[in-house]
Amino acid sequence: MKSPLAEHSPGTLRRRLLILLSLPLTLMLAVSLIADYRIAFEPAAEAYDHALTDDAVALAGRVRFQDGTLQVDLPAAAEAVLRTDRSDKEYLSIRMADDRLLTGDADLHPEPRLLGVNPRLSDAEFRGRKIRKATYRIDTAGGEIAVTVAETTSKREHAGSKILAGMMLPNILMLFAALAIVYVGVRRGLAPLMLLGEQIGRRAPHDLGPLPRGEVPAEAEPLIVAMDGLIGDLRTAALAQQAFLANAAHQLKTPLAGLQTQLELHVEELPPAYQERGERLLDATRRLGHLTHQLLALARSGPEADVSQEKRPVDLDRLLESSASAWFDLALARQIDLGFEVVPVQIDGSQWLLRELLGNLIDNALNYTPSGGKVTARCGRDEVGRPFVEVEDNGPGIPATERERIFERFYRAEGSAGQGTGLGLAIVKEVAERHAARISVHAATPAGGTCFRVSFPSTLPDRDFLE
Amino acid sequence: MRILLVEDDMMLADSIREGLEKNGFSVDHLGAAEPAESALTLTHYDLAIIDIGLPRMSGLELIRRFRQRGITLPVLVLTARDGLDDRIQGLDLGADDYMVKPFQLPELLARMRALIRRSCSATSSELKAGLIRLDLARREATLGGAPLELTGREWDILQQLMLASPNVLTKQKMVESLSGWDNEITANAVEIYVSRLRQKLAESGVEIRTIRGIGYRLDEITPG
Repeated sequence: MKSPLAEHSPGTLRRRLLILLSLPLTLMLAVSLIADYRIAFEPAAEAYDHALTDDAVALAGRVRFQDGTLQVDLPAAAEAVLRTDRSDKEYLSIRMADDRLLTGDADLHPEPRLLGVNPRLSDAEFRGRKIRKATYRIDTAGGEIAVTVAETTSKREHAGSKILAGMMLPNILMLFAALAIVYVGVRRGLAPLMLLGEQIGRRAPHDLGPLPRGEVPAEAEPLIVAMDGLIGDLRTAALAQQAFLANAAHQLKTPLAGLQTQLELHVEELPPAYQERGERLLDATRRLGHLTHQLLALARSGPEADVSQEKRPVDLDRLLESSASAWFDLALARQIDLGFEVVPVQIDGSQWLLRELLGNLIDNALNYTPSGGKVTARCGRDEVGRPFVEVEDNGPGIPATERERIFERFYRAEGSAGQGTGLGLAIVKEVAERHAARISVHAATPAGGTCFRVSFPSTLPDRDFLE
Repeated sequence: MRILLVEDDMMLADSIREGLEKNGFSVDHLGAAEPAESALTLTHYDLAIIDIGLPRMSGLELIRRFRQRGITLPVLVLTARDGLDDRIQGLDLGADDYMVKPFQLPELLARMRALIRRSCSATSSELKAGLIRLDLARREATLGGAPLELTGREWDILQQLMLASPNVLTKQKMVESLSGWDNEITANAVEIYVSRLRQKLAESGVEIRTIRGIGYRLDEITPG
């Protein structure tokens, strides 16, 4: 329930929004840049074209019909003025209708006539360079002439790049500003959702109460309602499971109790030949009872079974004292010296589950300690003030490599006495997890033995004070 | 000793009845709570063993009802639902002790004896365990019929152990109840008294066992 919804999805939503907003925005700004450039460049180009046309018209004015021929009155100084420009090379030619050159550059040809357009402006290539060309046709007494004036395009390009450079910077700044606004806006806009995700993530794993509403935007409301519904279903399922467990416990344990008591009554009366068989039956029945209890305990210590178990203050020392008698009988039967070292300490927890935890630790120690051995159960506070319970034995010890595996369900250590169900330590682990406690396993002494310690989170200072 | 057993599972009821009768109890068995309620008002029983998971009316409801009528007999509850009902552990439902199914017959017997012992000590001022009898009114002890010489402290300790059995009596509790206004008793002194008591009770059918770090428990070695 926690991670996929709470952490992953809002991140994706944010990325989607960012991409969906940023891409079109960038494209729009690029198009606007191109349009702006065009608009800004046009007046400059028009001015240059105008000057070029003027040159062509002026040059046409120099052609005279004299002595039956067309003559161009163009002194060298005047031509020099026409051909001089700060940045571009200028070309000119005047031709008659039959294309005969009157004056100018022999390789510069007029642009073909275009009806209604005179002078005509065009782009062309000349001597390997791009040029802008103005062709002006005029009728004279000696027939039509075509005046062509052309110039290379350096100053136009220069003007273009200057305009572009001037426009680029503000446009790019605007793009970045827009992207930043989108980013911040999306973040801000999604903040309530992220907050909700965090709140859901921070909930205790077994908290099945309704979700916090707080500053949730209206759009997320249906989501919350749906999730609350889901959590409600979970709660109902957990309660149904509790009811099922109660029933299962009753249905399984009652006939088992009958079977066990019957066997206990009659095994002694069996003829000697059947005595051993009877004992084995009785032993198997007891193990079956134990296993049933363990399975139910495990089912009930699972995270899904939490609803019905409230946490209350539990005195660990009292718990040890009250279970001592039951475990003492088993220790007596196994000839193991079972002892206790209790210091008063209180934690918040489920009394029943903690009793199971303790019982299974002691049971485990008694199972893996040879007769004549010694088992000690302790409770108190460690050096940093955390409450703990621990059970230490002087049995053969557990190899470091096996210490992780022993908490797995149905795991049986090598050389186990045959009494265990393989569930005891799994129950210990579950119960510890439910109390946010940590289990550590270490060798009791360098010579061997095992010590299981369950450390609970520090209780509140005011409670310490009350003790 | 007359016992009322209220249990709806026939096999379990039969075996409990048989086990109890073998040990000298007479047993009336009922399979439901409703007839049990009237049986308890009509007949005097020394102890009731009541299963919680009865059909229709639950065992807990039965106990609540007859306790309301002022019936004070000791009640031992049988439950398969250990842990599901915290009230069982608290015993604030009016029961005196509980056993979780499946249980071992000897333990059931030990707990029944303890409950009867405690209720007798209140009504007839007499405590019994093994061959020991304590006359609470006269503060006299006998062992197998013969007078048993005990000092005041030894007598107090023995009485407390017998009342607590089969549960453990913590050393802390012993120190608290033995210390008077004018004299403090130490844990070490308790140990000395207990070891003297052990010598005197060598052939009594009971044993005082030490539970290291917690206290002592009086166990009957040969029942009866």
